[in-house]
Amino acid sequence: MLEDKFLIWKLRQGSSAALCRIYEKYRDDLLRLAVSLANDTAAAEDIVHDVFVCFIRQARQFRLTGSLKSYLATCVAHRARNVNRAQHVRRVVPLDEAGDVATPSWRPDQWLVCSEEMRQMARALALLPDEQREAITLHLQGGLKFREIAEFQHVPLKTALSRYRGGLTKLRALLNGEV
Amino acid sequence: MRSLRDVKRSVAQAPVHVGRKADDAMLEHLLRELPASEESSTGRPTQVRRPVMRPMAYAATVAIATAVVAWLVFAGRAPENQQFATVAPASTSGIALLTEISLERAFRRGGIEAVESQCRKALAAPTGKRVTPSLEELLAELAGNEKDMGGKSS
Repeated sequence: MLEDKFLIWKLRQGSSAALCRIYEKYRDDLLRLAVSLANDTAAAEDIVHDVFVCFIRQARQFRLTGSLKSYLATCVAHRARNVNRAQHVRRVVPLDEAGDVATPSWRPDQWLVCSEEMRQMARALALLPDEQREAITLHLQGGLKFREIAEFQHVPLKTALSRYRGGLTKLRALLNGEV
Repeated sequence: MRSLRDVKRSVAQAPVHVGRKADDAMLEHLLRELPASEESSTGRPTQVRRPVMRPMAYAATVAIATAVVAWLVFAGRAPENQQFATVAPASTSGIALLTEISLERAFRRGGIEAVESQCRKALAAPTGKRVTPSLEELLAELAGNEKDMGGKSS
């Protein structure tokens, strides 16, 4: 928290070292979150890139009141939501029929390379309702508190909690091949 | 069978990797955005604030430096003033210079050297010579007094 505040202060002064530190610190988490939410590697790359660019542009007005990771994760979630709405990328299909979210072959210009575990996880997450997927990924990958998730989804705290628990149970069943 | 804990861990820590070249290119692109954000984005902050802040910073620095110098100067003088205040004004009398109080003050002021110096000064000081009038002077004075008294009575 203190380090993040210092980094943001340095970023406001135009420090490239601060930007590099923030980027390296949160890049993987944000990519993981973006893949889980957007269910598409290319879209995830675009989302994270856009979030970082916006963050840099608005750094001068930015006042950190909570966790920087939570803030960036929320930005990713907003953008992923917009992408999903606009492109209708995500389709609800049975797990067996679901295609790969990330192509197994790797291109040299490719930024994000998902592991097999990540692909499997993203496929399973794609089968959950949006609200449950958001609750799970924002809490486990974005580090958001349930109160923050409830605010993000504009629902009471108990609803956010039940979405998380319900989604997790369903996810477990999917991964265990029970569904 | 995965437990709930395994599922949570998998979701939270599912490994992702980044292509090295693409990652470097991405970072370069973001770094290029950095100076652009200072100029374009939303307005004033640095460009407008700096001209105002700089003179203020200079003025504050000068004020602080002046205050520190003044403090050092006066603080450096203060003990001297204090010492001068405690030491008795220089006396030409050898006896006064050799009194216990005078020597003690001299010692406080400059240690044993000051005491030695004061002692030398006391010994060198002119001893008070008693002036004894001659007989003629006494008679002349007496005669003068009588004249005055006679003049007054007559």
